[in-house]
Amino acid sequence: MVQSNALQMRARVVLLASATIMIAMAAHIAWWRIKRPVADIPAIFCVFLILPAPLYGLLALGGAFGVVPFSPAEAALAFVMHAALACAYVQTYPAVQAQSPTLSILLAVGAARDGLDGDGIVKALEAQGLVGERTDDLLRNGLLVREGNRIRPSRIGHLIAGGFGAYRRWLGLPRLGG
Amino acid sequence: MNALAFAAEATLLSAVACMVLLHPVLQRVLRREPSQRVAVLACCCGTAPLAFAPAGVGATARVYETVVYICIAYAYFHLFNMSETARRIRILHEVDEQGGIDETDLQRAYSEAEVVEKRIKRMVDMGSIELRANGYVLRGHVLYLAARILDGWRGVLGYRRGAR
Repeated sequence: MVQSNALQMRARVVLLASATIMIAMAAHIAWWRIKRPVADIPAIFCVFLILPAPLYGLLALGGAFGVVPFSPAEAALAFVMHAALACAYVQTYPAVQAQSPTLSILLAVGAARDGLDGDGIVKALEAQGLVGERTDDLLRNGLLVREGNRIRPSRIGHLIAGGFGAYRRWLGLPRLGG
Repeated sequence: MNALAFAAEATLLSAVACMVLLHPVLQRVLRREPSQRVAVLACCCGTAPLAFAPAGVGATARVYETVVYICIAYAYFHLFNMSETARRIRILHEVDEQGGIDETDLQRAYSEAEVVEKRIKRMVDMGSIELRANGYVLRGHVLYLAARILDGWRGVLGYRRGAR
C-alpha cells in the first residue's frame, strides 16, 4: 500500500523501540536480582546497547528483504529511540548503584522533621566511605590500576580524565568539581 | 519513508546542536548562576528547532522527536553533571594529574568532608534545602522526589535501600 504522505511516521516505530527497551529493562532487573555482575557498568552497556544493536541490524536486513514488516529506515529510527532511552537510563544508573551522597543527604533531611544539622548529615553518610567506595569502583571497572600502595589511571581512565578536563575548559568552567 | 527518516533526524540533530553549542555561551554569560541551572537552560533552549519541524510530519513523528530529544538532553545534562559532581571523575582527575598517587595522598587531595560540604552548598544554591535555626530543611521537592524514586529503584534491583 502506498502511503499518501511520505513524512507520516508509523506508530510501530515508537512501539518497537518501547518494546525493546522494556525487554532490556526486564533482562537487567532479572540479571541484577539473580546475581549482580561485578563489572556492572560494562554489563549495563551490554544489556541496553551492545546486544540490541546487532538485533536491530538484523531487523533492518530483514526489512530490506521484506521478511519483517519494517523498512530499514524504520528499524534505524526505532534504534535511535531505543538508544536514546537506553542512554538516559545508563546515565541514571550510577546514582542507583552507588548511593549518591546528594540524594542520601536529601533523604536524611526529608526524614528529619525538625531539620538536620551538619553533624547529622555527616552521621547519615558515615557508613558510606564516600571516596574509598568510588575508588574501589574505578579499580573494579578497570579505569584505575593498583600497583602496590599506589593507584594510577589505566589508558582508558587517562583518556576519560583528559576528555572531561577538555570539556570543562570548553565550557569556561574551573577544574572538576566532585 | 527515507524522506521521513531524514526529516526526523535532521530536526533532532539541529535541536541537539543548538543545546550543545549554546551551553558554553550561556555558561559564560550567566557566570553567577549555579552551573547546573545553566545546563538545564541550555537543554530547554535546544527545543527551539523542534518547533520548526517540516509540516505534515504527523503526531507520531512529533512524539518520537520529543521523546528522543528529552532523552538526549537528559543524558547530556548528566554528562555535564558528572563533570560537576561525580566523585569518580574527580578521583580520576586527581590520580591522572599526578600520573599515580598513594591512596592516603588521594584522601588528602579529595577528602570526604569536601564531598559533603560541596553537596550541601550546591543544594542550598539550587534551592533544594535551606538552613534554618534547627538545621537544614527541605525547600524544593523535585530533587527529593527524585531521591525517593531512585531509592525505590535500588530496592527493585536488589540493592540495600537508604530511606526507611
